[in-house]
Amino acid sequence: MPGKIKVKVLAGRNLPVMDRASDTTDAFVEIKFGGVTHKTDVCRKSLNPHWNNTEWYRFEVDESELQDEPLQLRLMDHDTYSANDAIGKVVISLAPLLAREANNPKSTTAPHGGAVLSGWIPVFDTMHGIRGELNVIVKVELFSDFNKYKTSSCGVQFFHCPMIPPGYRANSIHGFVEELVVNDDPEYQWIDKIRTPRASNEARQVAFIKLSNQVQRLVGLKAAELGANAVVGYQQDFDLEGEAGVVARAVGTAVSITPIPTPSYPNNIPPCTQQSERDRDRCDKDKGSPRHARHESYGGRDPPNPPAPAPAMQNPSLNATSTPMGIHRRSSDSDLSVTPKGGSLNTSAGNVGSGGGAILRPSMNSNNLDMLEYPFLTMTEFPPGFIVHIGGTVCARSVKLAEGGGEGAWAELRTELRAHARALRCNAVIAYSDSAAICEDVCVLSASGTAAVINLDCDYNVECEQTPAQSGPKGGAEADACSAAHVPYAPGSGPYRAELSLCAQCRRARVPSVLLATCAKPSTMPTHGKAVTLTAVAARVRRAPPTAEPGARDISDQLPFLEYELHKLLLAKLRMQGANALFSLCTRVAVGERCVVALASGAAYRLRALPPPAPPALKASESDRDATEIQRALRDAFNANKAANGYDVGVSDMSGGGALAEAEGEEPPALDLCADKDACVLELDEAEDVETAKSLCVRRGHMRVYSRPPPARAPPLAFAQVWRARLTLSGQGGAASQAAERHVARALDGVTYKLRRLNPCALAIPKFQLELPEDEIQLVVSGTAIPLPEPGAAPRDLRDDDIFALDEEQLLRNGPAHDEDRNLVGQIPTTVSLTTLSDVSGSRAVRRICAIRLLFVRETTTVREMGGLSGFLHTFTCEVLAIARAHTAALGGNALTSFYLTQLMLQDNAHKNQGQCLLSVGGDVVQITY
Amino acid sequence: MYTEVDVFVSNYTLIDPEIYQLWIEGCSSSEAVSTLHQRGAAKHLGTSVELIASDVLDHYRTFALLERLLTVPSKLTEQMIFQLDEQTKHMLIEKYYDLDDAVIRELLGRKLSSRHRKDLDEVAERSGAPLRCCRRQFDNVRRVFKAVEEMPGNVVANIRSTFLLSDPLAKKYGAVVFIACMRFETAKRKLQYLSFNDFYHCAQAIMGSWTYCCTGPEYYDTEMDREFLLELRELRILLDKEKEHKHLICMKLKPKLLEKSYQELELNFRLYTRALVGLACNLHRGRELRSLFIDLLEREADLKNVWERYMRVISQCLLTMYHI
Repeated sequence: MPGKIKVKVLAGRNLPVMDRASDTTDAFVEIKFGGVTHKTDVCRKSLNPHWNNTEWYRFEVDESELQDEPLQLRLMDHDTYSANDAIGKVVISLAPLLAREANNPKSTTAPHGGAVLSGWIPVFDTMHGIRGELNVIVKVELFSDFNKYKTSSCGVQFFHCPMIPPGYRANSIHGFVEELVVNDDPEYQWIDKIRTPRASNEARQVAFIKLSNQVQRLVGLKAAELGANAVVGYQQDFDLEGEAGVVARAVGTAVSITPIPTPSYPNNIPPCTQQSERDRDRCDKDKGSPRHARHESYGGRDPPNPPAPAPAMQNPSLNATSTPMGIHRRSSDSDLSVTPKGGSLNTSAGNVGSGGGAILRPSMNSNNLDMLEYPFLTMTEFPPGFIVHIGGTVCARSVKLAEGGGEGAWAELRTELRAHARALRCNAVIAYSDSAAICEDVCVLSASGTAAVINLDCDYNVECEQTPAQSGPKGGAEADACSAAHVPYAPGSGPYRAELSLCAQCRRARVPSVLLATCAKPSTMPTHGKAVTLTAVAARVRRAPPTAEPGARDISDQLPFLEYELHKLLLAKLRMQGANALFSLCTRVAVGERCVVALASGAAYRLRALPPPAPPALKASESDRDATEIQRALRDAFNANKAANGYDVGVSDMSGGGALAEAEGEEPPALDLCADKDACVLELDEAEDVETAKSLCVRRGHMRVYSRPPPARAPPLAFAQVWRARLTLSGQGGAASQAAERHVARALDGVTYKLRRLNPCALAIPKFQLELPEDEIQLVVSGTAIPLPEPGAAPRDLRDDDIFALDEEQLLRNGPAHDEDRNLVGQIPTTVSLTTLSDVSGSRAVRRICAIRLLFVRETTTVREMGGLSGFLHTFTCEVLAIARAHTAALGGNALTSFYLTQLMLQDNAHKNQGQCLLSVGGDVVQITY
Repeated sequence: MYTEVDVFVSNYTLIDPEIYQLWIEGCSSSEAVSTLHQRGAAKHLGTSVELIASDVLDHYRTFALLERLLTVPSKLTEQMIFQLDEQTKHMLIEKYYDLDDAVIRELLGRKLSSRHRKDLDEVAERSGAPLRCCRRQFDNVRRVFKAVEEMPGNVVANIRSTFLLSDPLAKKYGAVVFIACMRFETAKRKLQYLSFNDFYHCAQAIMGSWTYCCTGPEYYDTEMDREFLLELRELRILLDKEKEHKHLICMKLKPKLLEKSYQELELNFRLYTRALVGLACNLHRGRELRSLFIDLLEREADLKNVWERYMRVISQCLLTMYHI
């Protein structure tokens, strides 16, 4: 089915001097799509060229080609006698335009013009970075086609946003969609040996973009087959398997959504729109109680159970999976193999695309949930009532040798995950995500999510009506609110041992003592105090050669221990914070040549429903002085953390068990106090345990987690901190863990310190990426800081020490008035906000335009001149952010939400003074007003 | 802990004014770190050197990237790489172009060619500012001078619009450019005691009164009003009619001056007028003009209008130079 692309190149500016003799440039542009190329005239001797002929360059192409192929504009310098020089390129994926074209009949763009991309876009050269800008207009016109057998998915919108996008109404949730495409990595093709670095980088960049577009098209196609009109919670990843090629993987949740009709809005926020109302009652809620962010719980991570007894595991669901998890040698489970393999998830595809109004039953409904091959959802935030119970985190890993693809392996993992969820008596896995870690030819594939009982029949759009009932801590609402924390299984049943207690809120149901979950905390779940970010790192040294069969086997042997250590540490840290639940849990495994490292991060909460955590206790082999000291230090740190996090307040309004537990906590420290409560005992029989215990005593600044407080004082600040350092591995596992832990702590300290200028601010839960290139550790922390209003009223955050004292005074003086008017100004291209959250707090999304994803390859042969690798990366990252902002603005947005930054692959060759870097960013383009 | 990469990048570029100031002052990154650490220690903040260093390096990298843009301030507003608010942009430019009185005093009267860039050690030594700081100012002055030298119209307005500077700073550059255009002699040992500020005021006065007062594209206010300078010759008549002149002046000044000063004036009137008028008559010659300040120092009032215009400046110059 055909579509028409129309391109106009208006002008360029700030071009580099290409002709030394005259200090100017003779610029022209080659416009290429697929195999067709158009050229503009040469604009002589100008660094700010204008191409006066206002003709449109047209391409008539097939629809699937429209989705896969990027439009490439190459800016050239004309030379009469020698070959023309390339200045740089603008690469534009058309997918964002296609979704809008198809889905926005009432869009503000011209009725016939279709969707438009128009504006200044930086010209990027893989060897020199940004070299000027081009002003372009790109339009796409589609001819509608109702061909059943089409191979494109133009009508399907994509959002990275991990929930039903604010401003939309869900008609139905169709279910899980995934796709995987394998291709050759141009870097490893023979031709790469003979082409120039620039040609090679550009080929790689375009190949990756094509692959990315292709996998998105296929996911869209699957969604369309299910009758969905959008994919939310879309996640896409590349696995670079070297010689074996590159794998593009994508998962998402197919949904049918319709925009909530927004009445014509003046600049003030009309109280009738859903979002503003929601924001407002969030404020109310936050004022009413010290309750915090919406995050979820982690009930049962299921690390493969180590052979050792698991006394340290407080987590009931923890033991959930004693099946041979995630290891490639697993024998196929009979009950796993009976999963229905039917491709389509839904029985009621008929309701697609209905214009809104009546709320339709989801096509993925409670009846057919059991029948689904993968009852997974990639969303992490849900409307109230959707999550009935959270079973706990489930996770499966497998080790394989790279040979390209791996669909089979993923299918097995997902099937296993489903089995785990079933074992927890849950009907679905929410907040599903998968990841792969590759070293040489060994891959570790991980799939994880949160097993939960969900109610697909709930009203998806209930949020605004429900909240009034909630504003007071009334019995009924509260009981409802705590149900998510209740275990879905009967005590004593289930394949594992779990320590359950009565729900502290309703006293009717059982709750686990600790909840771990990958999803965000359900907004209705009541908590004490504030949330804090938490990380835990575990590392193990590899014992076998890093490649091939022995390497893979070694890793698969070590993984269970790694998981166990990580889990133990995570629980200890959680307890030290005085928290009893961890939401937004994300575990990353990285494989290096010499070690394997796992990093878990999440937001710790103190849920009201769950019993308060007891202070940690030590069980020392002999009662030496050291142990007593550590015990005291631990207890002091525990109490201090608890106080700092606000978990000690609010206990009084809990009756019975809660108060009792608190009283217990106030007893003087004694070594054997909690000896019988196995879950919180640290044994000090190994040197490294002592180290761990000591490190737990150190009170680190934990950043406060953003929890939808009153509207922010200023636009959110997305940031990325890249940390790369030599990882010294001396001795055995424990030392490696601590070395890795130190690096993570240092990177986080850096972030906290550098964000001090924004104080007071809160932090959206940061995302971590961990790589182990050669014998180094590379950590990317990306997140968003949200400046909070009223420094005086806002609780002190970020850190407890007084680093920020100074800034606070300044802010007070600046006064809110000044900020006020900054906020009110509608944001225009010069300021494009980036946020890792799904919306910009304090603002209203006028239009959620589309998802974008950009990928860049950058190389340099002047690393030293750029200030070393740091300088190179600094420059490159700034450039990539700039291009992302330019695309956002050109597509008509002024914010990029659900922003992410991935695939940071940095290589360097110090001898040649050369460095190479790959980086991908993306998010949802949104137009907001304050 | 050996780190290879430690980079923090954010959507809105965060600029710490304190670190920027240190960079402007020409501190190396390690000097900046130790300074900040000491300041922090004084306030008992107890932040580790490592964190401060990481932060400073982030900033210094950003500044190095920004410096390219700061040489053409209009580019800073157009560029897309750094997202900065207007306030910050203004602060960046203003501080980058800031002039250090001690440094600029040394730069006055020097040739602004790139050949002289390497001779800045002396400037650094005498002004006490780091060499890097002197280089920056030298480059800035040179860049501003080159940009507006040939530009018609009001020099201060030109500087303000080309370099997006605030009015006071643009005026300073205006004075520097003017002094450089006129090639006033300022480096003589006898004039060493004068600060940049003194010259600034003198230059302001001269620019205000002696240059072409009409504005228009064909007028340069970095040029003296030739006609006026020629007219000054006519002042010689004052010497001829010295008695009347003396009488008039004395009548006017008597009530205003102290007895002692008045007597002094009366006694030396001839000396004073001769010096001043002589100077005025010779100003139309280039060399005399250039050594204006020296002449004023070594010797020390129709025609009415010309005289007043002349005296407005001269009195101001004298007042300033003698720090009265």
